[in-house]
Amino acid sequence: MYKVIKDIDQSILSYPLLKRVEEKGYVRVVGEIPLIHSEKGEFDRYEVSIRFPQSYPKCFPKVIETSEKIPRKDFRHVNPDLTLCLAVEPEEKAIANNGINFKYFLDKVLVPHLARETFREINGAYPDGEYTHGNSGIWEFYESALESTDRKLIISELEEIIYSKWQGRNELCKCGSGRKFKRCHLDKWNTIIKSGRDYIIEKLDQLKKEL
Amino acid sequence: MSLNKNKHLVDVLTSHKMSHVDDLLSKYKMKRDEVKNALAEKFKDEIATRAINSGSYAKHDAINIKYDLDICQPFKRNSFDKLEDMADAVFNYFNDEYEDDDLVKYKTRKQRVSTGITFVVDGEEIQMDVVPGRELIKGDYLETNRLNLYVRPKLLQEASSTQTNIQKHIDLIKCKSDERNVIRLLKIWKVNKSKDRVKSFLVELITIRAFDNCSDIPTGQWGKLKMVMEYIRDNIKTIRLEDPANSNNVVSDTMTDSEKNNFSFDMKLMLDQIEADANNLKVYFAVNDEFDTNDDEDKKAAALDIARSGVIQKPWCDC
Repeated sequence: MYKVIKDIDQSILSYPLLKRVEEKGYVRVVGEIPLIHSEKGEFDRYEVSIRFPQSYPKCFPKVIETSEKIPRKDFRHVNPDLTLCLAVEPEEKAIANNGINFKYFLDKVLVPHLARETFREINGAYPDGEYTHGNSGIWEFYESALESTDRKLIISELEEIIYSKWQGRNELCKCGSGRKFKRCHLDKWNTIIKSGRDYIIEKLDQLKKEL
Repeated sequence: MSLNKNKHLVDVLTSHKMSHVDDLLSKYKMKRDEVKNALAEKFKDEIATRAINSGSYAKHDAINIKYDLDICQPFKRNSFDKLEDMADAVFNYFNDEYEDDDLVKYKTRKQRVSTGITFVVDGEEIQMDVVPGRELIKGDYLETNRLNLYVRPKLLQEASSTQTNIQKHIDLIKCKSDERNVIRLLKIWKVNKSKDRVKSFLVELITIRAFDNCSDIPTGQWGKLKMVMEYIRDNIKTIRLEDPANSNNVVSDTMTDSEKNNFSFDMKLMLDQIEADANNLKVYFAVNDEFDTNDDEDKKAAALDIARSGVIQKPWCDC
């Protein structure tokens, strides 16, 4: 817990409108996050309450947008417990699997997410689309990462990623593209394996049932 | 598309920020300093300290469509025999010596507890009230901030005096940003709908009371405003609100029963109409078009830049 508190205190130095509070032994960060563009200045501001699950820093902190500027609806990616849905699960796992620091989370996950919501409010749609809810969104993630819509192929490739010995970087990629593995599927596989073998095995079981 | 009430209210507050009138404000402040200097020079042996800022700007709940830069001049206990002499000395000073001067425009006015003066800065008029007050006990102002004010007679009411504490009024809403936002929104409604009989001080006190009595403060700007509006609707007719600096000053008594009924009805009507159609919120709480920073294209471009600076491009929901 001491490490988490130290990480939080260090990180919120860059976010002076946030403060750490402790309630009944639980640590939370509350306050405002102004969205500041280097040229255009502050263009929006959100009030948040952030809590840290037991598994933090190996998962994202849970964020509730307390100013309620983001409508609390599933189509705005607010969970029933009012926390924001910040990333598709395998993507979150990939980012946080080895531990995340709070400043990185604020700079690279939360602030961009809030900016995406500001854009959505004005534009009526997210700038780069959105994943479908539930497992369909996870399928979409793997489809996009492996650049294939053939779900059987995706399953077999995921199995290959976790169970097989990967081919050499300079060997021709098994997919038949004629390119070396390092220039073809290596990066895609690395993206996927970052979420952890155990997680992929668990997901594979679920996804196979949906085939 | 239905109105996002929280976002709209945040835009309303932003467009009414005092920072939008910074240039004009700095000129007003210069005038205010001139008045303070003039008082310090004229009454140098009588004053307990240099004049202090009061009014909404000092309390940080001002809105840029109506604000004042009032000041209060504390005098020593033995400076005048009577409070009336003190009030008249200040009035006479501005009336006699500053009449037709470029510092003071129009006739200086005798008001209930203050002297009213009007400046013209860049073609715009600004009212400033100078409130003279006298220490209760010799030498105790700096310690207690308490002052006695002279209350001029009005219609059937005789002249009287009242105790006040400007610092206490300022401290009242210090560090209460939620309350201040609601107060500013209700002031915007009050000014736009010309609800002159609803005094700002009363709005401040009842808003603070509503928050104090609420065990579970709602999140979101609309939730907070609605909570206070419901509190006013349900309680204004019976509530007793005292000036925290002087319990004899019952601020809720500044409104008659029928005025309180109207205030309660106004809140009910607004709540009902906003409930029926969220767009009615714009009727009562409008963005100040003059300072509407909601330049959507600019904001959209800025949001896009920041959104794409992250490591995640698309949201998802596990539901």
